[in-house]
Amino acid sequence: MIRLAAAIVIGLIACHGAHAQSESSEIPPAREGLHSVPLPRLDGLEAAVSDQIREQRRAFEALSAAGRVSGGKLASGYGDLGRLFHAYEFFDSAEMSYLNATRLAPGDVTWVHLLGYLYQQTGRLEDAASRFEQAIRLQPEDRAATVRLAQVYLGLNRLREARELFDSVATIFPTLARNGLGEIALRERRYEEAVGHFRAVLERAPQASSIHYSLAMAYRGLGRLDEARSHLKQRGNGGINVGDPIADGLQSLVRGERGLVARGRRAYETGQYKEAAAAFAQAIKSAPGSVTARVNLGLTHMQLGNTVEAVALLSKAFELAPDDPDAARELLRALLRLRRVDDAIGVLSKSRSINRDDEETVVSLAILLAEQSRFAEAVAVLDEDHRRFPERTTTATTLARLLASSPDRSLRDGARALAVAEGVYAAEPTPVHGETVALALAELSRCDEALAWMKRAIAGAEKTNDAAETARLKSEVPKYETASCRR
Amino acid sequence: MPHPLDERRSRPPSHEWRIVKFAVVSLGYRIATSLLALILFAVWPGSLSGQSTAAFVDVTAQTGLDFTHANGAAGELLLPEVIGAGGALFDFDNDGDLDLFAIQSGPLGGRGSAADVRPRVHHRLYRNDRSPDGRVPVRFTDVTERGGITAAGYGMGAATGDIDNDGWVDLYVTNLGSNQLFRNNGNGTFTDITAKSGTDDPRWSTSATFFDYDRDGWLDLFVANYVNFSPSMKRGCFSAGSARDYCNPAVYAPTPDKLFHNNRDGTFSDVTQRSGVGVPSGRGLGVLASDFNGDGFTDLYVANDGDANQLWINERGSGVFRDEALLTGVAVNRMGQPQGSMGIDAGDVDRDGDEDLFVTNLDNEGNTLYVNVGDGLFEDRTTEFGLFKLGFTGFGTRFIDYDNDGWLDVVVVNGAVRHLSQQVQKGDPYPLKQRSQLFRNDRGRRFEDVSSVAGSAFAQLHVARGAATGDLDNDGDTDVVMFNNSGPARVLLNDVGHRRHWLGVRAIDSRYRRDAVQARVSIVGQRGVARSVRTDGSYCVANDPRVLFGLGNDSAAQTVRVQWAGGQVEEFRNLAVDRYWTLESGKEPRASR
Repeated sequence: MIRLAAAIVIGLIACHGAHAQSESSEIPPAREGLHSVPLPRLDGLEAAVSDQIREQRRAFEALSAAGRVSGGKLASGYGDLGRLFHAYEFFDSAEMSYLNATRLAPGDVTWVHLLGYLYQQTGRLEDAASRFEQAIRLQPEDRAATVRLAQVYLGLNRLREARELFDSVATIFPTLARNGLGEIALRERRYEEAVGHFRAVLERAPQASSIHYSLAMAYRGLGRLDEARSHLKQRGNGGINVGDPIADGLQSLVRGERGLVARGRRAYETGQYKEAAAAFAQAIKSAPGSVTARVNLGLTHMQLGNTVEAVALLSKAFELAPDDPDAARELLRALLRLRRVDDAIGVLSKSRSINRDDEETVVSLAILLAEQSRFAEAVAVLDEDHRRFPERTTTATTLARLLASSPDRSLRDGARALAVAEGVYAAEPTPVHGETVALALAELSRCDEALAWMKRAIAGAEKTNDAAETARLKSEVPKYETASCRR
Repeated sequence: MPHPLDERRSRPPSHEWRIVKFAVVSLGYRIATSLLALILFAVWPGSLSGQSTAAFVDVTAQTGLDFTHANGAAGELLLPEVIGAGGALFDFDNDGDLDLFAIQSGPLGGRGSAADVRPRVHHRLYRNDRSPDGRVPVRFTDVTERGGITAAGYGMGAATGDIDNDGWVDLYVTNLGSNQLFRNNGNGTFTDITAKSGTDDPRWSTSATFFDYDRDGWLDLFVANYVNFSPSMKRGCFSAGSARDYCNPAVYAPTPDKLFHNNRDGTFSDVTQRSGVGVPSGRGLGVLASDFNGDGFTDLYVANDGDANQLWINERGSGVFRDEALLTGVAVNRMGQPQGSMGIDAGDVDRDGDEDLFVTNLDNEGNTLYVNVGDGLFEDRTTEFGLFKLGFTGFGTRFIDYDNDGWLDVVVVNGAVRHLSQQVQKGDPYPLKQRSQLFRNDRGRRFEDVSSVAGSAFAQLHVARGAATGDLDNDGDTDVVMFNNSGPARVLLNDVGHRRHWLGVRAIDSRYRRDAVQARVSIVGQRGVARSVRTDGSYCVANDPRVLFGLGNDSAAQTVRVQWAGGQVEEFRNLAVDRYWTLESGKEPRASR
């Protein structure tokens, strides 16, 4: 019986292998003078994606097999194939498809533009320049090609040509143009001019937080270091979109959960939260059981300020996968933002029931329990973890602090708190751990020693130039300066 | 450990795809026992006679180097698999030539934490037994057994330095898991003094450097740490086309770097927290020590993968460092974007008297050249110098004057970290291979890609990681050892530099009886020809501490100026060219060839 089952499995594998091998690795040229198009391996791709590629390929092969098909139609077939490959970043396959399309329909700007974009993405800047120049010749009103060509010239350090092009689109794409002109001014060390351009960009597009870096460098060039530092603090990943309908259309081709999530992540990382939300929502439609898409959509809603929606999405994700640490963590964060502490405790309790070894969960749970004045439960949770993992300093510190200063005095145990705190300090002699020792000593009414430990902690914080921690510790000192330091 | 209740953490979605069930596919990987190792140095290529047009000749087989790195890949696409390999070039036996240490990695453990990484691997120590007459330019003899270096983890990189000033170079090995410090006993053997010295770091360490931050004459140690990873934390990640692929390291939390102070008694103290270098954490991969602001104290530059790079400015030896990378212009590229930075080197490419920086990055970002514009400030001038190229994921890199024309060129070894669709399509089981690059410096104005004439090793596809440089055959030019991930290490002998005049210097600080790390050596009368003594830089490797000056057609004796660490300046006159000189502070120069 076992042998038979094994034979069936092997047979199935063999059939699958034969199916995979039956797909040729390229599409032969439909006409003389064209390129063959290499095909990506479809095994291993998400079914939605491989099916989509197979379907597009079949459509193309049907078109090319039909008699008397016009060059324009065949070009569109190749172009559509290229767009699909391009959307999934199979650049080699896309390039050959576009090259065939441009050969068959040399007057069609779409394929030239996309080929230029592909070369720009893959760093073949000379080729990209040549294609965008061609696109502009074919269609002078292709302003997106003008902007992209200007960016390519910038990448090639052809600053004079880049400047001319940015100037030419200043009224249509003022933000992009000013940014480009600012970059040129910065490279040419005309810092005042660069500052003017970048400030103008940020006025028009305050979400373009990456511009703060360029502006900071311009201020640095002028020796205005305080302003430079100020803008460096504001720098982020937000950019400026070219607004290129031909290239942007590629994203609409992406199918399947994985691709849509990837698309959403790209949008999220550049601060385009609405676009990110749309992609993640589409991913959930594509795969209704997707925890990944839900967590990401939840996070995106948090960024958009829709905390209630975020909690609903994250709760569902947590329900689907309670052992998923990201789902639990993000749900927790969302709940705390809404001050739903009891619900947050519920999440942590469930997480702990699944994985009792996670220190982050244990300490978080204890802190929340303490916040809700459930001190005994907090101590119990920490105590159990500390007994199992005595080397864990975060657990130990939290436990020591509760034993030393719990508002529920019945739980206090100064001697044990001191033993635990001293152990932690021996392992990690940091200011905060020194303060824990002081807390324990105070509970034992050993006020002079407690004060000495506080001073030691302050000295440690000062040594590391941690001004905030130094100030905080200093503000605590008066509590230790009296003979009745026990609180 | 980041606290989940800390609302200050604002991060993008970290929630990548994950795979519920893994089909563990054996790649059938074997470490090939090369027959070439048996042939050893019997036949040297004729090109080394000086008639070749290739800059570098692959002489791996002739040297007897038979090391093949294994990454332990078993189909799970675990991040550590693609991060090694490294090694070291150092003269462990003080016989005047460079020996080689190669680091092994796999296999990876499959359970729990980093501690589960099972050490069934062997690093290799090779002694250079070149013949003094140069007939056998380089010959490596495997002396691992006698050396006593036993691996404790999944190996990553190496750093070298004489930690006890006894005149014998010691060795630090970084791992995924506990690191190891090996003391050189001076008799061909090493002793693992990790525990006694207090230099362990159980996390995932990559590059490291020995440097003297407080100018007390004893080498301290900085260790770059990468991410918090264990095999049980595997994530399912995918390409744009939805195929399974290696993860972006952003899915794992960064871990703080580590700084150890040398206590002058064979022990070190962990001063990370006090120094400030642990916060904020970055995903550290490369490190280089140098005095970037010219105040006489050694600073640190750390290349982080996907996070802003850090320039830790040494607060005048006080033991405290502050990160000034953003304002100085070396944290991110000119568009303000952090990059996936890996390898680093510093050198004066425009001969204006200060050191510029080169950083290798991912294939969709391009490498970055930060030109030092004075006052400790830098500008990203990659494009202006012709170095902007996409399509290569750079790891090891060094500024070397490969043709001895007096201008620093750049060598970059490459290998992707995400699957390359073209190679996937061809059925390559490890589709990350790329060719390496050599860029020639056109008199400080621009770099020219001369990879096509650099030799066959630059045309072949490898998953290259570490690139260690040094003069293996002591012929006055810089050779390269390429440490390939999941492949054989390669020895690339320079076949063009020695055709021009040169002068080599080993600078020894007589106060401490060791290489004068961070000393600045220059040729008097040749504006801007200065080099720093260092063994760090590149990626996960240690390099030749000697400095080489290419002199072109200048055959006249030279005066060499050394600015020792601490600022004292000393000149050594009338040094004949085409030989190495040992320059020891306060002593007469000694010719060593």
